[in-house]
Amino acid sequence: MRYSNPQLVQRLAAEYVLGTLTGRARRRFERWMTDSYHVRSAVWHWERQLNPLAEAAASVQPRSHVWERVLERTGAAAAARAEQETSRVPWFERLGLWRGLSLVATAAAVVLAVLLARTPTEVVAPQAQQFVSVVNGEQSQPLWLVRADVQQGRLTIKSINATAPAATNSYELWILPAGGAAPRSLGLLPTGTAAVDAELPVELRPLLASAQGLAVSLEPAGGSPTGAPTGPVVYQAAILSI
Amino acid sequence: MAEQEELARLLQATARGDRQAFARLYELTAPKLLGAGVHMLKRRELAEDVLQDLFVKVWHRASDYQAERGGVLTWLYAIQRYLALDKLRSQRPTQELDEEVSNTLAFEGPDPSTMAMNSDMAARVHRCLDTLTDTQRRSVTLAFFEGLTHTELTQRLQMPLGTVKSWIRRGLLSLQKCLEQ
Repeated sequence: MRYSNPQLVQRLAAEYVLGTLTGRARRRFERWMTDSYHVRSAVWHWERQLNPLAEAAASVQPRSHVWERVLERTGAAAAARAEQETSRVPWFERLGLWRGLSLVATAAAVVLAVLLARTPTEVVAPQAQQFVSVVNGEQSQPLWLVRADVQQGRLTIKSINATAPAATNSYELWILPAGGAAPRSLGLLPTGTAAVDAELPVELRPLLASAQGLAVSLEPAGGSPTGAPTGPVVYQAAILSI
Repeated sequence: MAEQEELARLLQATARGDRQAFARLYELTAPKLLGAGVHMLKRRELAEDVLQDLFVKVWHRASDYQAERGGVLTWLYAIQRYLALDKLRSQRPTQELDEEVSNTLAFEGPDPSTMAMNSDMAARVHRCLDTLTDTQRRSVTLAFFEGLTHTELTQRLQMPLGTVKSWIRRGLLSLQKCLEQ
């Protein structure tokens, strides 16, 4: 492949970062970046070299609406927005979420969840401030175990059997607050045998006890770009307090 | 550098969903980023749109950052640059008409000598830019600060396409050589 010429890679990477590589050549180069670490690495090299030049530009204070929009688009204002938009029926109500959920099928998984959740170090959890949820696959096989500890402010998600989606996608977990308010992201789901241990965002903690459940949507790699689910909902699960 | 470490810490916390850290990261970097964005896009509203897109992206992809991309600020400049280039290329046909704006911002990048360079790297790049010939430096900085394409450079510099392309190519090569020293 002609791209194996290192000088050419350097030149294209430099012009990609500078922006003088345009149109189809730019798109072609982007595809090639996705495929090759070597090419990405050349681009990063030029990013490190050229972008510090931008520091020469004098600062300009952004107007306050910019940050407000960022907050809104990243979900912080999602609940408020949902209230304003009650005239429109949001996707998560159209799904008839709990209509088809079989409690019998999840019973075994619930037992598993409680067993897994009670690790030996845990003596007692008197006031139910801990929640577990098992997200099951089509054959009721458990895929993810989700644990939220409101007091500790921790969220742990363990992948049990979940297979990774295509490289261009990620699974994202959502909490469905009571009253049909807009879903709030709990982050991306691990796959394989991976687990994540993250801080449970403060604003989501009070939502757990009354939430309708959890939902998993298929999003572009890295998660929903808008702060609200954009892809299909592929799994749903109930939340149990323990 | 303490500031770099602070930004790295804030970005890490953002990746874990810490909204306070995210807000602080915005506070510390947004004015710098917007400064660069306004230079490229010429219109404040467009630059603010890009800044907004950038931070929505950062919220969702903070964990994508890796040290290989340079410091956090450099990484942010890089993502903003790509977003701004896309916006520029989709806006450009109508933007040419905006005479008033282009007059107020008619310049070929800020004068480095009047700017305090925040990082060693920035200072080095500027020193190395000085090793380029005038025409090379002019075309590279125009492309960098205003996001001009080869074709747009031919109009601005009144030179044929082949000449402009070669100025850019040689300019980047010289820059590379100087930075490697």
